[in-house]
Amino acid sequence: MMPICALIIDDSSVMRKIVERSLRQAGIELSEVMEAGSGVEALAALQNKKPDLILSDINMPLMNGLEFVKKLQDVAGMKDVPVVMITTEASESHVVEALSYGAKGYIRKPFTPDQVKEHVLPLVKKV
Amino acid sequence: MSTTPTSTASIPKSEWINYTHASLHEVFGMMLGMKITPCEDAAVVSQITSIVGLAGSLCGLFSIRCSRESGAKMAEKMLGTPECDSQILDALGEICNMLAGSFKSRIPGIADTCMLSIPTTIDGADYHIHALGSGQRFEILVKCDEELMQVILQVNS
Repeated sequence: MMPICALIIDDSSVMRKIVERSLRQAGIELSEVMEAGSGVEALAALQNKKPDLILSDINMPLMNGLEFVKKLQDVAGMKDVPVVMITTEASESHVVEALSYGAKGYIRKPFTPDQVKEHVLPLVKKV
Repeated sequence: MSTTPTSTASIPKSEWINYTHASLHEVFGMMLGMKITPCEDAAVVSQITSIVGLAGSLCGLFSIRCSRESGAKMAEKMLGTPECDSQILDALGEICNMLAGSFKSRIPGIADTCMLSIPTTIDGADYHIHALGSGQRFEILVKCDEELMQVILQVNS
């Protein structure tokens, strides 16, 4: 499997580090990690580079993860980038909404590296 | 799948405490690899406090507080060595966020109707939280491995 570039979106810098560590623990080799603290920052970061995978929190200031994944579908060339939501908001309506906007997976916090592996690895293998 | 909303007023005190303990075990076990044990008759040195608000069908707040040293140890369990003080505050906020989310998910029927705020962390001990409205307040003291932590649950509806 080739190393991939991942964009991690979370308003907590601690959680961004934990997600990155979990990806590495899941055996996913990262060539680059892009970070953003909100959907707004993430959309700006995507102007410069297309990641292979996006992991996004939902509950964030300025633009939440659901709005982000919806807007992502309108960004040229980004529609095929798999998005996995990682969030404490585990309601069924959030899951349905995220998936309807194009997210490919949903992981509830707290999570184990095994859960990250289970949800992310199949998406990464397609890259 | 839809579940019938629970009237939170009918939830007995013991159940609120059980939900909180279950959430503590889940979050500290999965994210920090720390064991939670109930603790009584100890005084927490409250130097860092994280708060997450609950709004909607369940209103109130979920709060955790501990000493700076305990906060640093928890952050270390999550991150390796924290690079700066702000990472300790950030880590405690994230722990509180996950605890509130886990707690909320245990109450049937409120997943879609109760929202969580973004966590806020207070650095310092000289403060008082005044919650509007009447409600129930639960204070739970636990040890996370050897670190003392107090959990405060304020339920207003």
